[in-house]
Amino acid sequence: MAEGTIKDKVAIVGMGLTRFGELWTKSDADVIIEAAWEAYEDAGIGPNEVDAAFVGTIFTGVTAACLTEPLKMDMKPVTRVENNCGSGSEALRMGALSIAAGMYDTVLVLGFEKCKDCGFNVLPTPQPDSLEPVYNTRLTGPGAYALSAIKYWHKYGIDPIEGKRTLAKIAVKNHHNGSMHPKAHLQRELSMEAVMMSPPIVYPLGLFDCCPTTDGAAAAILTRADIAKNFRDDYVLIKGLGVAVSRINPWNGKCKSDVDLTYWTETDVACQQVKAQTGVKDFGKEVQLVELHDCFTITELIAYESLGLCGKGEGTDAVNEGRYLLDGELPVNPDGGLKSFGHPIGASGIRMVYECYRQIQGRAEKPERQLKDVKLALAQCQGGVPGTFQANVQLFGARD
Amino acid sequence: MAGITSYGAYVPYYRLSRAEIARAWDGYPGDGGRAVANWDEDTITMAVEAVIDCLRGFKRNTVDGLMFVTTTPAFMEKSSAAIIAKATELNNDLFAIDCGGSLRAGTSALKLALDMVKAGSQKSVVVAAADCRLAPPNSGAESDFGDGAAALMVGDKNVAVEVDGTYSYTEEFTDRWRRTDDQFVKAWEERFVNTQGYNRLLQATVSNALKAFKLKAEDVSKLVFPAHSKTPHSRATWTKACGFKPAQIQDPLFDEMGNTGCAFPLQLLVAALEDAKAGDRILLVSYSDGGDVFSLRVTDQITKIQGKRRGMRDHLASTQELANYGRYLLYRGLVSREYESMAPVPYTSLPREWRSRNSIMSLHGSKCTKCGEVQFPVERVCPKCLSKDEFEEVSLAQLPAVVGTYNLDYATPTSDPPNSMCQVDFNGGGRVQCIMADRDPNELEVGMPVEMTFRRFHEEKGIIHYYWKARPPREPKK
Repeated sequence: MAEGTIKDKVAIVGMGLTRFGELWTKSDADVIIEAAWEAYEDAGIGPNEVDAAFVGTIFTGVTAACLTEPLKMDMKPVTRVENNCGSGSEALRMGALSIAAGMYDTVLVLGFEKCKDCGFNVLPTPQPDSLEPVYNTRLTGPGAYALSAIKYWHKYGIDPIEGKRTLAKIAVKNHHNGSMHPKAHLQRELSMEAVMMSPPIVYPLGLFDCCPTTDGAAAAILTRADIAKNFRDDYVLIKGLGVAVSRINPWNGKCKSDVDLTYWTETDVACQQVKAQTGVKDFGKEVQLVELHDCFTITELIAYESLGLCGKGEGTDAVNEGRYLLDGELPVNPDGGLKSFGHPIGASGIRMVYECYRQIQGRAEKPERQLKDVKLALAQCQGGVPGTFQANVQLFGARD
Repeated sequence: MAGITSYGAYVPYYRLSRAEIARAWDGYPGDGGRAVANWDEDTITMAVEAVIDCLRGFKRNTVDGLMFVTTTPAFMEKSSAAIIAKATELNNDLFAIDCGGSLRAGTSALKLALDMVKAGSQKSVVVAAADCRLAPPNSGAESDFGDGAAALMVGDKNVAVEVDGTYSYTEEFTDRWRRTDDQFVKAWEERFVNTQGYNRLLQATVSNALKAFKLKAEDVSKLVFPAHSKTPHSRATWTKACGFKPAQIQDPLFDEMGNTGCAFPLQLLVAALEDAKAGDRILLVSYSDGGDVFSLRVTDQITKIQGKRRGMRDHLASTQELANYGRYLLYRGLVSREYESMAPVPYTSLPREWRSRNSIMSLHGSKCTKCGEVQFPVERVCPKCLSKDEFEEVSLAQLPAVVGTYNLDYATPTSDPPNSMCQVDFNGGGRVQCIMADRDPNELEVGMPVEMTFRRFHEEKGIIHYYWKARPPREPKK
């Protein structure tokens, strides 16, 4: 097997991000155009200066024409990718690989979703017409993660009230971070009491353990690292790109008998790929910022352990010690994460990169948000639900 | 000699108290409560429960006939008996028939089963009767009706209950009826129904039967018949006229269950047999436009069945009162959760379901013949040793199991909120992730025992799909 590496071959030279939220007045085309144009302007290029594009979305139409039509990018090589919540990360990975392969110099990658137009107050089910036998109905995203929370508490002997308190601290942290970001969906602080008393969605997860249903788009302009300085001095380098896809405990009711739902194995595997590509040994010690997938508070708790930021079963202590606060030893989700920033599915993977990019450049939207000396930033975007994940782990770094 | 070789019964978990019905309608509170099928139960699923109960300790592949009886079928065209046979893993070499049309149909089918065995065309026939009739809201019938099922196995070997004689009387009488498109049972005024129908016809039917059987009322240990309503005086006229004393009359279980339609006389027979001893003479009577009467004698084989079924006694000892009348409306589909109607509805492809029929209908998993790993559903490649097509199918439906993890989903549309998913780990290997039924949300915990129950799973595009769910075992509450 080839042991290839993407390290330092591709640079990000421009990024764009719409305000996330319930964007009732904006269409799919509006959010795509706004994110793309901000990225063009950030990279200092015009709309006709990209060679190719990759678009990540899950609910919108079929084919890559969902991107070419609003951007008038007709006749270009444009590819639509879908890997559930990891769709945006996959678009970025495909864009980077196409440049590393020498096919293109400049590529647009864009992720977007309009979740709020569907007429009901949860995520549009990706497979309403999946034709699957009865196994597949009625397990929801929060339902699947709730199974993990109960199992996690049982495995580590955690009292449910204490368990909920730990999860609430994660929600409070992410809302505090998001309250300072002008593009976040929910720009407000949450109290511990509000989280603990929030109405149940799927026990043990309450309303404020869940990310909101959000519209938005995020875009990046990628180019060859050796020509990146032609666009800007403070370009950001792609260091490693890992991804693992599996269905070891399919969420549609088909179950292998020994899968335990208390660890994100796919994320762990993707981490090992990135470590092999970059030589980084310990993310917890070597990166200065982590953006991770926190669709629910339990998702973030277990992600700390799966990314190796702490040991298995040590997430509770890490939260209680405040290690991952904005002013902690390793800030996690400094922009508020899915929980506060919102989760337009296809956009989220690239939104995470937007935060890594701006923090590495020292261009955080408000000075009080700016982290000091971010050289390496990690983004983990995880599609699917426990037992069937599409986990992307991506490492970004400052130029030398 | 043809006779009854086994019995089984099913009563749903939930009770609606008559006090709660009265509270909902500002009415006069009655005693006890009626059995209410969960929202995912129908006559097919209740019959499956009764058949499984009836066949405990018997080899299922010895059954060569299944007569399903109901007046409230899920399908007007399409065999319900075939669904029951698949869920209970009967042989495909099976005579299967759907019967109904009258509250007498349960006993009518019993007579036909006896005659088939006598004639030698079938050797072992299961009669499974179930009903789930809808009474008009705020009617007396709403309090009187109940939901449930019973199953009797008929054969000519090791007979537990001999049938010495049968008698049927038929005289057209319109008292209660449902037209093909009626949602609710209709009835004429109660005095007419009671005096000119129920009491007059049963007096004629049973006195004729006693003559035909050359029996006197005092020869009968137990008189089993569908009580017309809760009040004893409503049935006193004919039982007294025929010479029966109150002590001979089988408790109609109105406080615990209610009138369960065509299953009612068979369920009450099961209740009587649970207390019977060898030599007892039981008179089984049904009612509708006359009635069927059976003269039964209990043999010493009865002890091989007694205490080895849940029957009526254990089911009635493991029940839960419904929290409120609104829950009953949800369960019977009389109100909908309309606000959720915008959500996309998953639907199931019949070809895909058919290809997976052993897993979906019979809850089969595959057990690797190389390494022993059990997985669900049946899959061709072993997840442990990666052997391809080296497996045998194993049935998980009746295995003891425990909950691996669970949730309580308040957001997912269901008529039994909160929707509870769980992982079920079977004793001996295999895991199913499924929905829980008949559970108390406050009592769920990792490691609790569960068993599987066949339920009406979803209904989209006019297609009804059945599948298995997990529930705490229906064992008598301590």
